[in-house]
Amino acid sequence: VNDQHVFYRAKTLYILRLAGAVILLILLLAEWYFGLPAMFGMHAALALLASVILALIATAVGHLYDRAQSAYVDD
Amino acid sequence: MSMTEFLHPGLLLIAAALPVLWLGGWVRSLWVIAMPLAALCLIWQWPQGHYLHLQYVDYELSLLVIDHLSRIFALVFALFTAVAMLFCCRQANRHELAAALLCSGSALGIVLAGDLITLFVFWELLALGGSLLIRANHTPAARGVGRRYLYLHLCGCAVLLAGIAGHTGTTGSISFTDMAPDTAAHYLMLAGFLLTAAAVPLAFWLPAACSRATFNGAVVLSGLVTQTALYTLLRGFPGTELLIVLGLIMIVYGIVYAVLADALRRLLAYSLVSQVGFVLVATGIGTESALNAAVAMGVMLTLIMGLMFMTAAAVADGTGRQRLSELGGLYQSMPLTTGCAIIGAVSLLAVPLTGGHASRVLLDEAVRAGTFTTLGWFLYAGTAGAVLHAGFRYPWFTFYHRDSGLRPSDPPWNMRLAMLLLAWLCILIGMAPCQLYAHLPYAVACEPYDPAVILAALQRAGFAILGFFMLLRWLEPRRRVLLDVDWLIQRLVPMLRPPLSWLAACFTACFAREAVREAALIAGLLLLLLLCLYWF
Repeated sequence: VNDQHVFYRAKTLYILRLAGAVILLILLLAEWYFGLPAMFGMHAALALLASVILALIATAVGHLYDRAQSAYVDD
Repeated sequence: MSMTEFLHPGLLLIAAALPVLWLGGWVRSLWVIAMPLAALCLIWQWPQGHYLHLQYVDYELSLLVIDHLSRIFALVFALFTAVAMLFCCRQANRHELAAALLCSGSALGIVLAGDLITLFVFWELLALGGSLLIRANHTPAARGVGRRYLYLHLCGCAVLLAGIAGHTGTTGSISFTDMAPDTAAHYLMLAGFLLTAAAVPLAFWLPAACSRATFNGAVVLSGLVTQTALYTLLRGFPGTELLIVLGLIMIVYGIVYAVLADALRRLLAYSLVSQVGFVLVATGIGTESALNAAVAMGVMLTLIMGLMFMTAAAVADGTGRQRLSELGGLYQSMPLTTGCAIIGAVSLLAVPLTGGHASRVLLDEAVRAGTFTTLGWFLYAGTAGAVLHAGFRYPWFTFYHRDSGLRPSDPPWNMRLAMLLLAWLCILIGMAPCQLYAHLPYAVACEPYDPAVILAALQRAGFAILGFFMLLRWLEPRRRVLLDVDWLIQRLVPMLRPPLSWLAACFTACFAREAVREAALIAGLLLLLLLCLYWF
């Protein structure tokens, strides 16, 4: 396993995140520009919240499974 | 009357499965691709109406019904079968190809069935075809899963038959039209359909089947079986509110299990379960626009999940590995497979210019028109949650992230062509959604490329991906214990074996006596008669 791969290096990931943040900011500004103030940021906030909450739920369930240490592995 | 008016597309494919067992080489490859294309032409040339009537006892069977609903599903199934056959024509074993054609023919038979008896016969054949497709892998694990698949689906068939008998008895009609779940018979039919649709709590068969079947078998299973059940729910039980609840549970269940899964095909199968949940919700809403959405999402699911399973098959075929934790960095040597997987993923995320977006806006519109505000937010969150499975997690950890050091090349030309065709269809439908909308059962009054709609869709996908990267470290795949309901069943069945064996021994001992055997026979017949009288 090559941990220095371009999509795994911390510096590259930070650059990707920065670029992503700029794109997301543009999306929010576009929403404001097109005159949708009532919904401003709602879609963005909900999508972010949903993905984080669902990931946390899944991680918690996975943690429970790991602790169960059952012998049943059927992958 | 032309010759084609005697040909049933489903029966054509089932009949075409037999020669596959003897044909070989390029003739076999040509045969398995040509037959679904012939079925596609047959479906295309028939105008709407009822065809191929058959008298059975007191009932007139209608083997082939073409209407707005059956036509679009049949066309997509036939097209998908042709592409799937192209994908697997070169390296698949002949048993697998024959089983795939049997599965596909049965699915077409169900979709085109005009009555419940025809539907039931093809339903049984679908169960058999699916089991044979899994067993075609010729491994002990596949044989076990294939056997369990058959038992489970035969139980579903028995439940469905009981429901059909009850419905026919009370109404005197065998026609397959919409029904409300207001009687025990209708509930039994609904249960039979839901089992094949991989609804919770019996969704476990789908990941097991997809992960134990051959790669090509998983492609066919993922594209046809659950979608066939979705069609029957759309035709039989539109507007059933129970489906909304089940659908919402399935969305979350599918996402959570897909995050936990490490095996590629298991992850994709749970992803399919989650996506089926959306179709169930749309079916449960039951308005014209919601049914349009359910049909559009159902057919897009065939194309998208078929494409995703094809890319997974290409990866596993090239690397010999099937776990996310063992993969990464494959984009360098498999650029075409990576591109196709990304197209499938953005379709699942309903990004504009993809087929997923064209179908998802219909659901959003239906939810808005029905003023289901809370439900709308749940569905929005569920769509964002797709980043956690096939929508982003699968392509990221397979093709990017850390470099696994593996350098497989893209698959052979037939597999590449099949993937490209499905990816092209996903993009084509996204760019020209009117091509899809024209085939939907009801008129569509929604604008998928309104600026507000585009912005909402882009924000949903973009910010969900941001959430994914925020928790990237926690979402790393790793091998772990994964328990589903089948764990419970696999432990309950051996526990039930001793009392059942004892019961069987008692019956055998009793039935050895002539008088007891006759009494049991009479009692059984009386019970059957009472049941018949009750239903009729």
